[in-house]
Amino acid sequence: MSDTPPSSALVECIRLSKIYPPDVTALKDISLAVQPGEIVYLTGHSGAGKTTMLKMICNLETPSKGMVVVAGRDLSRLRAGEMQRLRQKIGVAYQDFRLLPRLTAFQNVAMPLEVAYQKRRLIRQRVRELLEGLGIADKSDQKVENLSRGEQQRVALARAAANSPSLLLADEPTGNLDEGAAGLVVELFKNLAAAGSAVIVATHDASLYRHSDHRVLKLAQGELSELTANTAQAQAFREETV
Amino acid sequence: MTRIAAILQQTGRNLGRTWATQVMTLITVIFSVLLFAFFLLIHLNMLAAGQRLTNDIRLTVYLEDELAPELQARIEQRIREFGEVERVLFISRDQAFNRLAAQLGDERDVLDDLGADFLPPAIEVFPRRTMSDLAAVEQLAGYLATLPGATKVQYGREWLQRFGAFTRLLQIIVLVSAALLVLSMVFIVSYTIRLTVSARREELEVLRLLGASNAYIRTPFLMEGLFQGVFGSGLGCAALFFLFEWITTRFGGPGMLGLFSLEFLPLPLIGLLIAACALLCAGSSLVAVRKFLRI
Repeated sequence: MSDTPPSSALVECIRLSKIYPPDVTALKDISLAVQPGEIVYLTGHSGAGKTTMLKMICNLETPSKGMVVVAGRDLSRLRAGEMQRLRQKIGVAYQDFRLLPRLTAFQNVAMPLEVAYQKRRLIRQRVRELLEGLGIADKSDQKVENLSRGEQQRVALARAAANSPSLLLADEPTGNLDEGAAGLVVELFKNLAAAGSAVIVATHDASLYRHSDHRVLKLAQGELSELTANTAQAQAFREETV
Repeated sequence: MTRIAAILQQTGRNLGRTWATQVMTLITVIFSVLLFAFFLLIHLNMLAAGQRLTNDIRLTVYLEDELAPELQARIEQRIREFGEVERVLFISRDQAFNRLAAQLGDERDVLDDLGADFLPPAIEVFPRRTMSDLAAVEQLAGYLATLPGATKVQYGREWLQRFGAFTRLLQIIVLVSAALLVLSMVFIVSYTIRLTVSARREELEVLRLLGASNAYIRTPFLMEGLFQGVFGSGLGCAALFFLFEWITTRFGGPGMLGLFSLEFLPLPLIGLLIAACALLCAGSSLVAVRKFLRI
């Protein structure tokens, strides 16, 4: 049972704060709602709290204050089994990838589908489709440890998107990619959003949101602010020139 | 992919990645089971032999003089009063001599210089098959020694006592080897699973992040334990069977083993042993997984 008011938002962060001991404030009283089908860019300098926020949204970190509601469920009140089921609906592309180096690209991407007991045929089809979409179909049978960082990053993104999640969280998804590959990643986000997924992207990469008509949020000194199209472009310019 | 197929695939992957450790564990389980089953086999055969010996037991009461027929009837009645007596046979000096001569066969001429009355008359008492306890046999022997005219009661007391002591020693060995079997299995299997969990910690962490259920993570380890238990004990029993066949073929016949008719472990007992090992190994792996994964 959840006592949160009904909402159409897929993700709701309500007055969220995170304080690391002894007294380092990473996030301060942040509220945010993300609708299904929406892409949100979360920007800010290194250490601004972008990764912390993503981790709290997928329950890898617990907030010091406030609550996170995903798909109408308060994450702090979920039992282990419920959290496991919810995690199958949340795709996360971690900054450090968290891939299994000795498995092939195909096997890594197939994992969330296997965990969800999908049929073999569907798994093959979906993995192939994702690897092709991200331009690494030819790396399918290669062990991840033999791939370049950029290729590994795309495998991580493909794995996050494999289960067609309701929510995709991507932490610096284009950090190791050239412009062409970054374009493929943006395309993947758009496809997921078009299918009804909410996508939250934590990024430094101004080229991702510079001409974007999606919401751009900025984290600075633990506080969240929304950038207008003009300020987003100005911010992108600053990021690019730094 | 069905749940069963997914779990089997995971189990196969686990076994494939940690095959060297799995083989070592399997060998340890095989030897533990072989050792235990070997002692169990000897113990059961000794028990069976002991049962046969007790069934064939007879107590011979040597007498000073032959008994007149009316006295024989009274003595027999007195013996039967003890209860647990199947048959009473009076052997005269002549009968004893003829029996010995028949046993000597071609060498009976050694008796030529001895008179036909050199052997004492005797009473042979056959206890009922229900009397399998050595103490009860000793009690009957004591009772028979009090019969009038009895000089000595013979029933292979020392031999039976030694046999009983040996059977008891074997029983202790079987119990100790059973305890060792349990300990070695629990230790080795849980240690193997710990190693496997350790080797796959990163993967298990990722699986949890992807929303894998506890059953999805635990069951392959449980299957590994079952696999170790079933195959280890099955192969251990098979090895014992071949060892048994080799021993009975090579040493069977008129020699030492000819004294006993050796039997292999009964099939239901083998089934029980395999099932117990499977449960033990599966239980050990489950405990190890729960302890080290905290899931």
